[in-house]
This record gives sequence, structure tokens and C-alpha cells, in this order.
Amino acid sequence: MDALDRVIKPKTKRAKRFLEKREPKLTENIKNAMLIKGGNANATVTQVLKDVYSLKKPYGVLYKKKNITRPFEDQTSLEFFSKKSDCSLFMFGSHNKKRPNNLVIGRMYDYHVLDMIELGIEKFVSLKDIKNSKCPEGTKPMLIFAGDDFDLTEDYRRLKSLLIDFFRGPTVSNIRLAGLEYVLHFTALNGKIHFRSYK
Amino acid sequence: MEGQSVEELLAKAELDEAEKLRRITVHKELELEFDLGNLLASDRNPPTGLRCAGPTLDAELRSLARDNMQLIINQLWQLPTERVEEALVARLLEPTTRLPPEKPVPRPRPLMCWQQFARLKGIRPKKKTNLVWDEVSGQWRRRWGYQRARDDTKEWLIEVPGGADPLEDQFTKRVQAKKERVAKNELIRLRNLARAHKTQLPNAAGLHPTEHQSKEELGRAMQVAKVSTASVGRFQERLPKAPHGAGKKRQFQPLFGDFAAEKKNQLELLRVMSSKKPQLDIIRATNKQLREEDQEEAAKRRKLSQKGKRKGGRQGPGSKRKGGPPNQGGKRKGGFGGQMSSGPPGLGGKRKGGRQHQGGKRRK
Repeated sequence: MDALDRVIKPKTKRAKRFLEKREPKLTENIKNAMLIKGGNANATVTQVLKDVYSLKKPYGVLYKKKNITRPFEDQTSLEFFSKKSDCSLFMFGSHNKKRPNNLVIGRMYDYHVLDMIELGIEKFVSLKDIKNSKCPEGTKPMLIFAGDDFDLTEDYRRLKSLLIDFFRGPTVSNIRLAGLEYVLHFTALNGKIHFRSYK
Repeated sequence: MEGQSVEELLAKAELDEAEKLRRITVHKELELEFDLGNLLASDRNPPTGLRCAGPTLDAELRSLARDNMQLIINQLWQLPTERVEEALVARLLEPTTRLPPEKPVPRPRPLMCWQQFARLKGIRPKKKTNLVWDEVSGQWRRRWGYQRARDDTKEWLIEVPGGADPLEDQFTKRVQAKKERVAKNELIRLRNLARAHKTQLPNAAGLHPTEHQSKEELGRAMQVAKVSTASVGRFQERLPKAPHGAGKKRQFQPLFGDFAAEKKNQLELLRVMSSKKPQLDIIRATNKQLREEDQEEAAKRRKLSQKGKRKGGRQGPGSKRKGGPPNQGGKRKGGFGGQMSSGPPGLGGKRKGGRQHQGGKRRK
């Protein structure tokens, strides 16, 4: 039997709590995201992953090593990682000659890939290049989607749902009005999506 | 003069007010859709203004974002607020956007035997004290565990009870009794687990040698022993008086039977043979796929071991499960049949036979 599929009987209370945190529940945990680098990931893509990691800070893992896989051909290694780290969202960055600055965003259901979308990065300005103070990590962002494409085309609708899922943050019942710090603005225009974050 | 300056001031104040109002109210053709539980706003207006703008794209986007943000903040400020620890807090609504869950809905576990019995009889768990008074040591000791109150294992003297054999070893008897209790407990736990995951435990009646075993039980034990070889009993000699033909029997229909059923079967066969689309037996296809993958894995492993580059016996991420875990009760047959031809969106690559990762029976 595989290590991950063994039915583990916990021997300590701590192990039991750990397993209970990972099992399916009625009110679910906040989705964790894993950020993976591909076989040849260049500086742009790595910086993108780092920035997204800082946006998703306590609910994300950034893998430092490069993993030589192709998400669209073989999902097993992604599913393995997701099972190990209990993450249901992932972002995979790579760089080819034919697909420069490639970013695959996806989500999982029951540790299997549910859907994923491949995007190419055209222009990227890193967070560290923008000279201002950043928001504390863990703040819930406001999300705005502009453009009618996000409702008309099926692909765009799926992308919208994926992006909401990814950047949503914890679901809370009350929110401090003074703590509405930043907004992520997605505009669909001419087949491109402009992603801006304003504070 | 003063009047004029007062008028000027008033006019200026009015202009300022108008400016402020213009900033706060934004005019849009289509209203935005708000999902305040997620702090989400969707603007359905076609971005016509932006299409023309080339170099000023950033500024245009920024102004669009500012407008949208103003609208969403207006909405948020209209929510009922309360004051919690000197901070103004708005009570958010439930999120309305439907997003897929992370894991499947938890199944309610079936009650275990004892729970059913307790529920039937109305037995409730009695609250027990943590510590028990121990006469021997003269102190309060815990009920079980390290240095417990009445510890059987530490006794150096056990009296032979009245009716027992004087030559029997009471110490080993005690140890054996404990082992039996532990084994019984483990069996019940596995049985409960099997019932929870709806798999069957192999029927073990007659396989444990006891005093009186019936002829059938002995026969069954013998059959199981015969089949438990590496070739599943194909090359075992048959015992002279053993009934042969024990085991699975093939069912044959009678020669002259149900004509209607026979006609239906033959027509079905003809239809299947003449149809253009191949009929896919999901179970066989999946098993075949899994077997192929097993062989590939084995070949890879052999190659690795030949090269001598053993990385501590590490298995690749796609390594297989052998026996099928009991979790997620393997619903292999028809459960994922629907997913076969049209896989979940975004699933590329070669998926031959609807390869499943859930457990369940593998080879049959």
C-alpha cells in the first residue's frame, strides 16, 4: 500500500487532531494554495510566484525546488503534492520557448485535479518594484471583475470562478471597515486580462 | 466688498460639494453585481472606453478601478455595523458565489455495534473520576496507564484458584488472557472499520482450529488452504476423498429455455457487434490500465536498480496502491462511468480507461 493511502490509526492526540483537520467537513477549512516552479522557470515566473505567495501568506506554500512535470500531461505529481500538503489550489509556473512565462492556475477536488487554466504573462511589475508600504498579510482583499467577457464566455467564467477561489481569503462574518486595505481588479480586454492591485 | 467675498466663498463651497458628490456617486450603464460575503463586485459593462486607449491604458484602468471600488465601498458602508472593541465592524452577508468544495461531503458513519446497543438500551457513558484510591500504595493513582492503581502485571504472587490445575502457570495464563482480549478488541475494530467502509471481511468460520469442527468447516478450511498458494491452487494435487467441484461454479442456461430471453440476448449480441462505437467495459479497462502501469513501474524500478542509483528506495509520486485502501469506499463499477468519455474540464493528456485513484477491488 502506498504511504499516503494507508489508513493511519493515530497514536497520539496531536496526530488525531492533525488527521481531523484534514478530513472532509461540513464547514470547510480555507483552501491552501501551493506554488510550484516547473523544470525551467525563469526570474519573472519565480517573482510572480513569490508575489502571489505574499498575497496568500498564511494559506499557501511556496515550493523552492524546481519540479520537472507538465501539469497538462501528468497530474500525478500535482496530486501527490496536494495530498501531502493538504492544498486544494495550485499555481505552476514554467518557461519554454513556445510558451514563455507560463502560469497554470488550478484547483483540486478530493486531491484530484478539478480544473486548470494556462495563462501567459505578458507584462509583470513586481511588488517589490512598487515603492510603497504593503498591507499586512492575511487581509481579505476586495475583488472586482470588469468586462462583459467574464460572463459571456464559458472559459472566462471558469477563470473568474478560479480566481475568486484563489484570492478569496478566509470567509468571515464580520469585517472591520477600516481594514479594507486593498483591492484586486481584473479587467478582460481584447483577449487579455489585466490584473491590478490597488491599496 | 464683503458681500462679494462671502458670495465667492459660498460659490466655492458649493463647487467643492459638487466635486465631492461627483467623486462618491459613479454613473454606470449596467449596475454591478455584488457578492459582499466575498467582497466581490462584477462589472458587466463592456470596456469600450479602454479599447481605444493605448498608451494611457494604465491610467484608464486605474480610473475604472477607482470607480468600481467606490461603488463597492458604498455598498459595504450600507451594511449593518456594530462597534467591537473600539473598531467599526460591518456584519457581512453569506457569500453568494457558488464555488466548488475542497473535499467530498462527509458520509455519516454507521453506528458501531456497541453504540447501537447502547442507544437501544438507553445506556449513557458514566462519568468516571480521573484518580482512584490505591490501598496498596496509599495514594491516589490514575485509573489506567503508567503507575496505575491496581496493576495486575506487577504482582509477584498469584494464588492458584480453587478449581484450577495446580501445575498450570498462572502468570502465563494471565498474559495469554490479556493477549486474547487485545486480539478480540482488534478484531472488533477491524469489523467496525469494514462495516463503515462497506467492505467485507473474509469469513473466517472454521479456519481457527477448535475442538469440534463440522465437516463443512473442515472442508472449507481445506479449500482455503489449497487456494492459498502462489498459483491460487492450480497445481495442487487433489486429495483422494475431497469433493472436487468445490469453489465457483459456472452457470449454464438450459438448452431449451426461455425463447424470448434467448432471442433478446442474440439480438443484443448482433447489435453490439455491428455498432460502430466500441463497447467499453470500464472495470476491465481500468484493471488493464492499472496492470500496464504496474509493469511500467516495475520496469522502471528494475532499470534504476540496475544502474545502481537507488535513492533510498524512494518511490515515484505516481506509485500504485496495491490492496486498495478502505477509505472512500471503492465505488468502481458505475460511479465514475459518467466521467469516462467527457473528463472533467481542463483534463488533458492521455487517460485511457478512466483511471481511478479511489481504492476498491482491483483485480477480478
